[in-house]
Formats: sequence, structure tokens, C-alpha cells
Amino acid sequence: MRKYPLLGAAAALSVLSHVSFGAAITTINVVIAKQLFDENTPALALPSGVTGVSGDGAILQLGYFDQGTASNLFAGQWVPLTGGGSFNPQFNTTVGDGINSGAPNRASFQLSLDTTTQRLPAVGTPLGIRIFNQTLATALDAGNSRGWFSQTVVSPDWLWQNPAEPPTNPSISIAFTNANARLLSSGALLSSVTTVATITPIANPVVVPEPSSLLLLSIGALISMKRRRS
Amino acid sequence: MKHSICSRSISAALVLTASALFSTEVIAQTTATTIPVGFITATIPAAPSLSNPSNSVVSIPLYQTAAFSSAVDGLVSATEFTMSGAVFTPGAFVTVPHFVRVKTSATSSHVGRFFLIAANTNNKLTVSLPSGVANINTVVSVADTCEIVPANTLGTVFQSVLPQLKKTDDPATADNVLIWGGTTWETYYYDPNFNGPNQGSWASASSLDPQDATVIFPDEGLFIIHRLTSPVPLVLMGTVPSTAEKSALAGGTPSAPGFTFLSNRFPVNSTFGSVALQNLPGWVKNADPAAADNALLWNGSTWDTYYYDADFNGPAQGAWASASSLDPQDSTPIPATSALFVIRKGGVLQSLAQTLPYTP
Repeated sequence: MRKYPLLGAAAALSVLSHVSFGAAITTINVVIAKQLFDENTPALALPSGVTGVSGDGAILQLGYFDQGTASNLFAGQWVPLTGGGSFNPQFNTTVGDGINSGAPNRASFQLSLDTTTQRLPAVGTPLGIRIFNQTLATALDAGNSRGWFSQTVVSPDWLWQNPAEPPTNPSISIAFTNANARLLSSGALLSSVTTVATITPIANPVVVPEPSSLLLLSIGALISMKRRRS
Repeated sequence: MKHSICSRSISAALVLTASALFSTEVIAQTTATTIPVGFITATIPAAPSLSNPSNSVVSIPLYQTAAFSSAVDGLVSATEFTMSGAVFTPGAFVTVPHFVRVKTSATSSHVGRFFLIAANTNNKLTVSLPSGVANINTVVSVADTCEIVPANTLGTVFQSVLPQLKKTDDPATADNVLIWGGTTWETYYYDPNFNGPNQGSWASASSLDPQDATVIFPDEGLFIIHRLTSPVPLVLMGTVPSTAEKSALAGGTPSAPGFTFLSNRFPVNSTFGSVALQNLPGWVKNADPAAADNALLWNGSTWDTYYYDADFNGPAQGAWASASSLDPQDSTPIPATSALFVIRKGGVLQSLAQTLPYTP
């Protein structure tokens, strides 16, 4: 059985200090370099929104299955931490987010989740990404007849680490190049495909935030866009 | 006491050759002075096992050889100035990232300042102003001598050791280079097939773009996660710092500290006493490390916490202290090519001035 290495920087930096420095955070790095599309519409690239604008593409949730383990990735209910309909809609993650030259219908971004984040998982819970074929705008469109579909990708290598204070704050890298990432729809390894399609019908569509929450979404302040310093 | 660079070079594994090497590829007219060129080796330790990576800290205390050096002859705007005798190739200092550094000035606070070049014409530089600087005229004056140096980047610094790094398309399994982004670590790794089969590039764990040209600023350290069981001798080549150096340090508050991963600016060991962080305006001195500003030093497996106690040796007789020792720490060595994680609970963004610890 494969032994799963600790997660990148989390392994290196998970040494606690007795001195308090500031807010405890867990950093999540996400790179989805594979193309995302809607197989049901048919094979239509998922909306990325306006280039350079975040939060206006197809809904993309970071989350976890509440009974999930490294050996049973999809057990229990999906708990969305970020994105439309999640418990933390201020993290408005969508397809097309990030400064990605010439790469539509993909995504890359960095999140800093602190201890105020709602519904954080238990340590060691596998994280995943759920991709929807709808944007918040189409979700709010009463005349939208497009069906709801999603795809979820989880890996035993993307294990949650509790927030810690800098410089020991853990950093978890979620890349769709991960060799152990699997698709909920088929259980297949993600590495076996070059694209990711939203093919699983959703019986109960993602809960669309109330208008007051949408105001928060427009801020999008907590998503870093790779501007380290000039 | 200042040390000769030659005597210190043995312990620092620094090899110097007195030569002057100047690029002429993009410069029609070049003037520069001769400064020592050499190398220093930072050893990235072997991983204890394939499932237990090694963690280490690296600073790059050498500059690449200057491409151009002359006096500032005009301040054009808040971000632009011209240099005497300049005949640049437009855009050349951006296509390959370059810094401009202040080498001499009648105003001592200018010396050691550096700026990333954002654009250049045939005779004019546009620079990116660092946080806290609103106009170039506050940090550069006409007649200041500046030099233009290629920036160290992920692509240039690690080129020679790529065969010895673990390279994959997944940052969770590849070797990582972590750069502090101000509030968290930015994770980089080398993807051997980033641009196609066997067409590798440095990549970011949170971006789709290639990162070979990601700049390593002179005042920032690197945190390395190495997953292979052989050590990596990272040979850093370049010119030895020959002036005072300036480093940007974020300020903060007790509830929202400022964090900076500060490189060791010189290719020799330093000490807490010689870096003298406590002299920064607003540096919080306290007998309690939890209340004081901190400097953290990586010991190979964890961060050791240091702080300045203003009354360590008696009233107003301060010294650097350790959170895990009763002894004064002014002389505790900060190894060459190491770095300090500085945590400030007071003050604003400031420029730390460090004088040369040797005679070049």
C-alpha cells in the first residue's frame, strides 16, 4: 500500500512554536491545468468569465466528503468550503480565476483559510474540487433551462492540515496532475484523462446565495492572484 | 571590527576571483568598476528518506555581473530616470529581469537601494517602486552611481542543480522552493514536461504560467523542501556585495504582525548583534518573546525564536535573547546563505541598512 507523503510545505512547516505570531491559516494552492467542459451541452467548454476577472466563471467548490478517508475518498456528504452555495461564499472560486495567460476554462488560485472559516474538516480528511456547469449568473436566471451537472475530484494526497501561525502555516497543493486524484463519477484516476467534464446530474442543485451574500462575493478579497511583490 | 573578505572566505566557502566580466549583448556603451567575482556553496541536505523530505533555508548573497554602470543624469517622473552614456536595447531589461542598484550617493540612505526594472527605452529606466516609496526622487538623486544587474530568478539560480532535484508535474511530490509572499508561502516546483515532453519549466502551485523568470529579490530568503536522499550542493555564483545593503522589513501591530523572510545579505556568517534589527525604529523590545518582535532562525528541523530584551544584562543593558536559553545571543551565528524570518509587532515598513562586514 502506498504511503502518502505529507503535503508539501505542510510537511516542512508543521512545527509548532510556543510563541504566538498572528492569525493561524492554512494555505490552499489550486492549479487546474486540464480543460474543463460540460459533456452534456455537448462538450462545451465551461464558462471562464471575463479574462482577468475572478468569480464570474462556472462555480468551482473546494470541499470534502465528511466521512471521507484516504482509503474511502467519497464517503459521506459533500461539504463545500468555498464557491457559490458553500458555507464560505466570500471565497467565490470559479473556473477562469487566476492570472493565467492564454488558458481559458481552467483555473489557478490561492486561498488562505483561517480558523473563522466555516465547517473546516478534521485533520487528515481528503480535500477535493467540485466543478459545476453553471455560473452564479446562470444559476440565478429563472429562465435557465440548462441542466445541473457537476464533477468532483478528490485525492488521498490532498489531506487537510489545521491552520497554524506563520511561518509554520501549512500549505496544501491541489493540482489536477496528481497521480492519485480520482473522479467521483467513475472512480477512475484523474490522470487517465486529459480533460474533466461535468457529467454527473445534480438532483439538488447548488444553493444559490442570497443577494446580500452576492455583495460579499463581489469583493473577492481573500483570493490571492499571484502578485508577490513588484 | 571589519574583516577581510579573504580571511572570511574560507569559513564561508567563498571563492573569489578578481576579475571583471561585463555583458555586452544588449549594451552599446558600458562603464563599470572591477569588483570581486566568486561563488559560495549552499548545501541542500539529503532527505532522511523518500517519504521524509529535508527542509532547509537558502539565501543568495551574490549578484550577477553588472550589465551597465553609470551616474543618474535625470529624474524624469516618479518612476523614471535616465543614466549618462546609456544606449540600451528597448525592453532588454524586462525580457530578462534586471534590477538597478544604487552604488554610490552623497545621500547615504540611497546606497544599497535596489529596484526591479519595469520597462526601459534606449536611455530611460522605469522602475517598480517598493512599498513605502512614492517617488523615485526620495531614494535616488542625480549623480548617484547606479548599476544594472540581471536579477536572480528560479531559472538561473537552480539551473546547475536541476538534475539533482526531484522534478514532477505535481507540487505535492516534487521538490519545492518556497518564497514568502507577505502573508503565506508561495510554492514553486520544477515540472519537467511543463511546455511539452522534456520541455521543462519552473511552475507555481497556484498559477498556470511558467515561472522560470520569477525573480528572487536580493533581500528575500528561500525555503527548500528536498525529497531525494542525496544532498544537493547549490553553487551560487556572482559578484560580492561591495556596498552597504538595504532590505525591506514589513511593520505590523501586536494583533497583525508584519512578516518578512530576510536573506543574509553577505556571503559570510553574520550575528544577531551585527544585523542589529533592534536599531530599527519601532522595533519592539521586551523580556517576553511573545510580546517582543522576533527573529526566527531555522535550525534544520524547526524555527528557533530570538528577540531583543532591552534590559537583559540590567537596566538599559540590552542583548539578544533566545526563547529557549538563558544566555545572551548577540554572537549567535547566522550562517552565510541562511535567512531570518522577521516578525514585527510594531512600526511601519522600513529599510534595514547593513554595512559591509568585510573590505572588498
